[in-house]
Amino acid sequence: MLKGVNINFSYDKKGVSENILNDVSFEINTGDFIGIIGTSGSGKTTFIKHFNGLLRASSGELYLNDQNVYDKSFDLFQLRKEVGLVFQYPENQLFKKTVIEDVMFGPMNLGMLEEEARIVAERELKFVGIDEDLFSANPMELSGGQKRSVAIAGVLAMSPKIIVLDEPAAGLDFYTKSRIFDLLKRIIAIKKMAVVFVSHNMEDVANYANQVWIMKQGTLISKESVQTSFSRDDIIDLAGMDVPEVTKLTKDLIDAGIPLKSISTTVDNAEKSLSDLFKKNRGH
Amino acid sequence: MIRIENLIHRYTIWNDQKEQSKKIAIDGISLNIKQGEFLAILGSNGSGKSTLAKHLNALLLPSEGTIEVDDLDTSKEENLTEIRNKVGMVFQNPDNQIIGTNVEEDVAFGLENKNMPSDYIQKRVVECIDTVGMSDFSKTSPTRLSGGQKQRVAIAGALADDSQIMVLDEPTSMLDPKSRSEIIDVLHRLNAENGMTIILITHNTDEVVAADRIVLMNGGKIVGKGSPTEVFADLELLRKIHVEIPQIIELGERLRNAGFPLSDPVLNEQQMAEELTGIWKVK
Repeated sequence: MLKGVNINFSYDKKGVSENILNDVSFEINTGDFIGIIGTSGSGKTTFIKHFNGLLRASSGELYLNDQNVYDKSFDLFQLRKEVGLVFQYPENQLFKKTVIEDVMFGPMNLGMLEEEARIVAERELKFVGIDEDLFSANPMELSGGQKRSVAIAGVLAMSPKIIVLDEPAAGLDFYTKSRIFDLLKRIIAIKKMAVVFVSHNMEDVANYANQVWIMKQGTLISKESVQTSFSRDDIIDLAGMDVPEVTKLTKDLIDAGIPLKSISTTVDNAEKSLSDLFKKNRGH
Repeated sequence: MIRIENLIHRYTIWNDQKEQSKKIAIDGISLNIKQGEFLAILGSNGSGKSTLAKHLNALLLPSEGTIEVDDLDTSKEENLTEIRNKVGMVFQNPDNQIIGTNVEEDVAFGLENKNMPSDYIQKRVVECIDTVGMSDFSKTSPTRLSGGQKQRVAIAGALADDSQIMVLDEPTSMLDPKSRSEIIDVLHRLNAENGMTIILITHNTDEVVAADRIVLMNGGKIVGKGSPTEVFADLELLRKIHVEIPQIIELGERLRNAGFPLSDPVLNEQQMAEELTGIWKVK
């Protein structure tokens, strides 16, 4: 659906060009749930800004459904419509007097008539779990999690095929965070979209993503499944990240000679593999 | 020593300049915090934990009740300077609290404001930057620092002011995992080596397992307190107030329920690895 080939991006700083992205290639397809991790300053945010054309690569190609986005004849409007970007703390960008007007703003900007935009906005607000009696409330009166859901509804109202979120869980407590991630799961399952999110929380990535992209100084050093990525100590270390506690535990147990088949990345998985193994052992 | 007695805080919600309603953010809290204690305050969004933090150095004043910092009542204006000297604050977003053009200047800001002699300032700044492990970056511009490094500079700034108590309101929530553990390590070191009182407000539960005491907040009230061992023995309460349970503690509960003879709770990964290896060897 969206494909980048050898994307480079550099800023000009006092005549010296500073590389922020180095030869990054990637592909995003329907059904993907991709977590991008990397330390602050590794280029994650700069990277995702290329997905909907907010930034233009200094060199390299970007294809949307096999059309070259950087061709003169390509209408960037198409890219903006298909790839929705949700920034960090999107609730700070809610600005209309009512929740529904805020969600209607995007589609109307794309040329939709008010009547139709209202229907779409109502549908998406319901989808993200906002009660009907809040539609005409002032966005400022909502809780943090509700505001974030409204911001996501605002992007969904433009019917994108890919939704890209920068730190969707930042500042949210555990309960609110799991509701946001459950919403992202539903977006993939029901709307048949792709979800890409930037995170510094390895547990969130392990619990929800099916692919992990690891960034280090503007280079994508790994694009693998969660299981494969988290078992690569060298890459995790190089990226300055840290695996979840259960992953550390299962690694330590394997090192201590306990014959677990593989590392675990979630509590569910650790519980199951430890119970199975110890039960079998007791059986002998 | 901080003494909080029957603290109530009401926010006024304004609508078009007409006072609309009052919202109770803190609803009757009493708590004593000892000098040298490492106290963690846990609670979900809206539990009142940040409002409580802002009372500790008089950024907010009680609607009812009292707060005393070393016997100084925070509601008395004449105590304000002394209280702010004693209690340093570090907030969530590192970018909002750095002002100097390099690390040294930033750390010196508070001391210069107090008209301290310049050789004292210089000596003190070097010491404090060293304490947080940032000596290699003394002349570096804050824009070149990572989020975790900026938070360490903010902590050094509070240290330079001779704060004896440091209140940190979700200092790690915008940081990556490595930077997070750097900050938590610095806090434990300041607590152990300098005897500094640390009050850490967070919803990252894995940061609190090494605290002396944990206070649980929900709906503006304290709903539980105790040592990590005590607090993490009642997981039902934590779930009820929407506080995340650290992975190892959660796994420990599930394995115990499945018949594994593990301690209750198993607080950290090393302990879990040792206990499981022990069980495996016995067979």
